[in-house]
Amino acid sequence: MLQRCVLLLGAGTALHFSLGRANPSFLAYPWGVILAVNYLYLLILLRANADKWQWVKRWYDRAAYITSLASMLVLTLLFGLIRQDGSTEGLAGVLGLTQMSSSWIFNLFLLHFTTVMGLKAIDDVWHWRRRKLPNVLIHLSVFIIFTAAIFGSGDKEKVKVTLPLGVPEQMGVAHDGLSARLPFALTLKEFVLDEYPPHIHLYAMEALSPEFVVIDGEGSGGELGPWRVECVGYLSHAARLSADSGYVDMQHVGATTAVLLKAVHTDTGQSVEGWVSCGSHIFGGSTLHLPDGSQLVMPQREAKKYLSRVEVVSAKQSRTFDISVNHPATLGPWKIYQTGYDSARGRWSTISVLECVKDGWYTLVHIAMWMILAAGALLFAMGWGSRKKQKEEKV
Amino acid sequence: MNWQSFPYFAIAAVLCWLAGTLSAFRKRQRGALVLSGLGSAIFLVFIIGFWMVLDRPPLRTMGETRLWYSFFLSVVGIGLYSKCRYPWMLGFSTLMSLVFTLINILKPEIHSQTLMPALQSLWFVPHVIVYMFSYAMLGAATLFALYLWLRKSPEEPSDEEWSVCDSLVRIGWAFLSLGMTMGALWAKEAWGDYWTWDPKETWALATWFSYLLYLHLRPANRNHHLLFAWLTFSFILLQMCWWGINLLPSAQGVSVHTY
Repeated sequence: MLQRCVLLLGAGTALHFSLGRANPSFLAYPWGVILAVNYLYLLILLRANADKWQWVKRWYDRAAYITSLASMLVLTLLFGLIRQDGSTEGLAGVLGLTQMSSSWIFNLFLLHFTTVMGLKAIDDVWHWRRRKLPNVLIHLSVFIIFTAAIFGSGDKEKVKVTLPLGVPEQMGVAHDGLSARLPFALTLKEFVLDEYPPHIHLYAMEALSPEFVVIDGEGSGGELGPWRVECVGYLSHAARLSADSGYVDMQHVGATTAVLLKAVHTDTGQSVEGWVSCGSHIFGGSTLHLPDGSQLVMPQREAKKYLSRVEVVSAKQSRTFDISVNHPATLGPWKIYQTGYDSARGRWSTISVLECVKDGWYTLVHIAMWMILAAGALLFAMGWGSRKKQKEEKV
Repeated sequence: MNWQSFPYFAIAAVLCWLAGTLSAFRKRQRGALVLSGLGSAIFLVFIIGFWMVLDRPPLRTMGETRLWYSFFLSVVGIGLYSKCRYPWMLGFSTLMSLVFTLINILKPEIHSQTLMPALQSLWFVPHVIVYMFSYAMLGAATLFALYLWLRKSPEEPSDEEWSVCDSLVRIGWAFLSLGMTMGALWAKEAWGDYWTWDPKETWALATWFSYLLYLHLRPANRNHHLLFAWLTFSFILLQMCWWGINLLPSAQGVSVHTY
């Protein structure tokens, strides 16, 4: 087993020095699928002839498990300990371990682990026993996931599209930085951003206090250090026409949130009143200076939810989707994700950043993921077994 | 109910847990279970109330995850005590819950009501709760292993003791798998990738491999020195995954799992 690991390490190092980093583009459709089918056929063939070819059994016996698991653990630990910045400095950089996911060494060991797992999964199915269902599900699902991760790695398309309001767009930027054409056009019809109520912090000694008070209307407030803060005026759409003036209510593009705060020192009773605002890309912000040299400030409001209403037009259909974070749109093999907006403009953003992802292995991997969930639930249900049962299970 | 009221609930819960542990050592099993259960119930009431006041699940910050960890540790301790009748197990779980509760009292964190859009997912609550339960089970497994390993009498662990230890690891690992998978399904819905090799994910996978290795080593091995050392090592990896990566130079500024 140790010899196998040394061989893999040597082969990985040799490939790294001769070919550079592993580039999965050669696994793009249909080659990834063709290779995966052949790989699966080879594993079934090997298992089918395991009684004839005794050496095959050494690929999925206990020693093989332990070795492949231990080697994956060591590599994953290195993955966690070495900064993954793609640097070529030092031994880790020279061996390609600073970009582990495209390192030949890591990928060869992953293929080895997947092969052991695959042979074991096929063996489990071959010798089907109902009480071993959780183990079979785990072996099978992990095998499917890692096989998809290896052979599907060249098959995924990711295109980032920056959509201006009302302008159809069919071009985007692929993950390799090159421009890419989508098989459909996207038009941003509307962008809606919902924000959390403003937070007021105390700014003193050139640092923002971790404590804050939430201002969600007149009368709200709280204590910040020695100051009791109370909101006496709240404008959700405010504008300041000159630097010296206060804020006025204005329904205008770029309108910001402004609050009129009254701060009272809890010891001395000293009182100060003034406007505080985070400002916007059009109207300036404002802080309230307190007599002790500190200030009350309002950082930019945090986004609670943002949503893009997008019209998608392809050769076959035209549909309108509401896309938000965690709620992608699905169009055939494509999923469209909400990833960003113009944060400098906040709720007045006129662009939306979407990411279109095509993942041909989605269904297969999803099924495998749900198999793991089922296996986990079964393991929990059967987890507190008797000693005898546990001996038999030999996870 | 807010963070300021936490010390009152915490003190009441800890007193119940301590009284439960005392009863256990005095061999009053029913009293031990009732008192410890009451302590956990008080703790749970705070968590539920806090959830309602925050208007979001209290699972976002490190302090909030410590709340769940304290709660689950106490539940696992009660479960183990009711199953095996080891009073010291209840004592250890009480001690651990007490430590995490004290950290939350002495190092209060600002519990903002905001929940960034990526966290507003159906997967958020089950993902974190399942992980916290897993951490509690694996924490209990480590405590149990350390007790068996370092106890004064140099005897080998009995079959019953091995069975308890293995069951804790098996269930903990099952929940670790559930947590990881839920996280992957969530990530796919949020930004299109199941797995991005974020430092947190990398350390979670290392922890998963490490416990899986124990489960594969165990059936053919009774060398308790090796196995208990391995469990302790695995638990250190788990700590790295939970909070250690925040201190790790290789993970600075590159993880989306910072809290």
